[in-house]
Amino acid sequence: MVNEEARKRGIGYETHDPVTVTHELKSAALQQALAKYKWDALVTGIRRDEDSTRAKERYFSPRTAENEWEYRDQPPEFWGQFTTAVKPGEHVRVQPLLDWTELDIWEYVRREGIPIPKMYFAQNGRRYRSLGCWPITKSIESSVDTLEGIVEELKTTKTSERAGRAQDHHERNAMQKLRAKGFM
Amino acid sequence: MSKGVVMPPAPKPVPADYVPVFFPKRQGGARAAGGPEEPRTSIVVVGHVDHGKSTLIGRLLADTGSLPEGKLEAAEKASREEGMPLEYAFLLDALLEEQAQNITIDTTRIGFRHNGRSFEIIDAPGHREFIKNMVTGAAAAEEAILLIDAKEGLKEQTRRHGLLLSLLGVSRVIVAVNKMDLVDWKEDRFRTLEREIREYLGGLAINPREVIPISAREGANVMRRDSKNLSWWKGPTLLESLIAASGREGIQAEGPLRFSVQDVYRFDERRVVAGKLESGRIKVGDPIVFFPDRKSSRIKTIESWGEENPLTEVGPGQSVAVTLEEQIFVERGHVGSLPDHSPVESREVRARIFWLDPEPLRLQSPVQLRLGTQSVEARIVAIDRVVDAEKLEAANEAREEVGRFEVAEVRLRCRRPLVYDSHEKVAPTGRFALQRGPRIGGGGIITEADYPVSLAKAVTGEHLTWTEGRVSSEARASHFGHEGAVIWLTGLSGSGKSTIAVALESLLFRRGIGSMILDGDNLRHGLCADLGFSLEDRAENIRRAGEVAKLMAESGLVVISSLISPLQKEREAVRSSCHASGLNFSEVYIDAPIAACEKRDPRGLYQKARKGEIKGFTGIDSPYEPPQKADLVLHTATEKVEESVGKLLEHVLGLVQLKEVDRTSAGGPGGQI
Repeated sequence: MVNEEARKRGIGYETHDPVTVTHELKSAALQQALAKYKWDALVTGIRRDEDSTRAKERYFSPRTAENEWEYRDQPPEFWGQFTTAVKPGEHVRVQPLLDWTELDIWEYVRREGIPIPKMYFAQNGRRYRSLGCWPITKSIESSVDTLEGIVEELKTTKTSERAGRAQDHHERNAMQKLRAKGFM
Repeated sequence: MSKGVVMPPAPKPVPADYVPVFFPKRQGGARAAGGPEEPRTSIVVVGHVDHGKSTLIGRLLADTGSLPEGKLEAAEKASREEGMPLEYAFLLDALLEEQAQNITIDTTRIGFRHNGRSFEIIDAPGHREFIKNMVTGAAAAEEAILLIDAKEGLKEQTRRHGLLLSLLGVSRVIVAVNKMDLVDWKEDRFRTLEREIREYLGGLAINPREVIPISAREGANVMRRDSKNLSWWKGPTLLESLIAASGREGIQAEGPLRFSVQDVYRFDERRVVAGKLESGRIKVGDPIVFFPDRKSSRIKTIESWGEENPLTEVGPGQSVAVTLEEQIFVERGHVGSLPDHSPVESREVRARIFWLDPEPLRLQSPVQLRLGTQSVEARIVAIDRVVDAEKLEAANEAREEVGRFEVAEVRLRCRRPLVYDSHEKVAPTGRFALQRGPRIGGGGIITEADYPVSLAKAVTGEHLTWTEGRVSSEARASHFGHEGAVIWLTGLSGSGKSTIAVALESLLFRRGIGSMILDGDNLRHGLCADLGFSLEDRAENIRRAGEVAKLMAESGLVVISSLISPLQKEREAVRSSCHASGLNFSEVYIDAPIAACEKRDPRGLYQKARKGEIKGFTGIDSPYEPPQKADLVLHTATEKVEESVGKLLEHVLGLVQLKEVDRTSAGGPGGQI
């Protein structure tokens, strides 16, 4: 689903900063889809190790009718019991991989033989560790082109997984601002 | 204001036959369920606000080299912006408000590796109003670090968090006395605090593995020793202590089998029962009994995804799907167990609960009790003790509610039987959450469980089926205007059981409550005419009396049984059998000293026993075991009969009278058909 209204206003990477574009073309578009299809729940693949605001997430994370995350008042979660009920207009983000790490993902991909985009493998000395929109996603220096290689590389790396994602680093607390307003 | 990004050159077009996806070959593995491969120790860091939790975590990450590139620089930049020297806490406190106030807002999790071990730190906030986040953090932890500021000493939250750790069952605790630099690294200050905290935690049945002096800001004794300032310290560093603990076996101790059924799926002709092994293991061929219906079968297969060699055994903590030899009815909420070591099945739960919601939890107000995949409506019927989390003192006055952040010992009654264990025996099936409306408002651990003496015989008769009526117990209760119950009077011959039973029966009847006496002697004229007075026969007599009382109570009557029933074990068997059927059961001890009973001797039995004309007479040459936890004790030697009967009447009415909610929700006379 495309936020046509924002596109008409000329929102795009050519003219706007990554935080604005991310909010308008991803979060706002998602909110429009939620309103249209009246979904109660969204299953996401976010993980706590990706970002320090995601580290504060819940497995079942309620969102207001305005798609906002009230991180100051999150429901308690313990002993495998979750807050699953939603009020009309609201939805819950179900985030089953919250507790996994990047390394867990790749070991699992290797063990279970899960198909993956070839962009994760190095070409000409560079590969992608995290994939997002084309103009704001950077590749990293790496010559790794096998699953074994990725697993080994992750065991020693010092850079963060989302270092190549421009919207995260555009300004201080960019992710917090984005996520409070509905970004995944 | 906004400015666009420098657009990189457009990607080159790819050939039409290019496949952008890589399909790896499955390696497979021995695990039945998905999930991370590397075992991880979860550590919660708790303690009073500003005692240095986030700083310690920042220090652990920095010292072990676990920080991503640029993080340290970012924290330095943020520190400069706030006008302070490098603040390790900023490494974690990513949220803007936190940086302004320097306080952690929500539970944060962050992983680190050291010496080949993997850890996950849960940073729980210290602010009093954020205690629910602390619960969320601590409930997931296997290990806890409790931080104390060396200068400030034990504070309110130090005590409260200690109590919560004990309540949440986190018993593996390391205490770190932080900010030793602020007390000039003095050993005597450390030893004083060590004594205080050990004494406090000891009262909570927590024995900290280690109490360690550190300075997180200075990096002393976290990973590196500080031989200059802490030369007197001969114990381990914090990291050494964590690593020693992570290597220990048995984090997930093997207990009796508890298989929580999540759902039953039908594929072709097969029914696959899916759920989680809360405890114990499942092997192909093992017998299994599902509670609460006690249907039994055997494990036929363990299902797994695309596995060439199907598993034959699965251990604790795993999610698993099985098929059974016989097609028995199993559904979500059922709990599988081996025939021996079965869980408790009862409507009564004794628990220690904590409450987090601003609105207090009141006596008799309905709340949803969620344990594993079970969810039943329950209400608190008694608040025995409310504990002040700071002073660890019990409130003396009787309480009608449990307030926010209070901890209380309560009795809960469920609308349907709940399958559970004591937390001490099987932790995952000994703890629960309490939900009111859509919100989880609190939780608790089960402090007592009356394990059945022997599993009801119905389980062994595999070809017997249980005929289920269509009139629910709620419908019956609504029809009669009261619930059924077994009021079990026990006491010596001549203690006054019959007198009290007769009076109670008539008082209840006059109030419109269907009641009936079940007298031990009367039973021996018919149902138990084949029984003598050997210990074996007397036990069988009690068993039969218990079964009859249960049937009568199920029909809606208040049954007043009047038998000496001298042995605790036999009375407990009746209690657990009644509770398993969801019936009210009350053990009433008619307590009169044997001298008083013998003096009364209404039937001249003591005289005969003394002469040796009656053998095996209770109290003379056969034992009487007084109840250890009677629901009511009546002192008939010192009270008037009216007084005893009055107390008993009040007790019984409290047990069987309907609350308003019951009346409206039972679906009217006739029940749901």
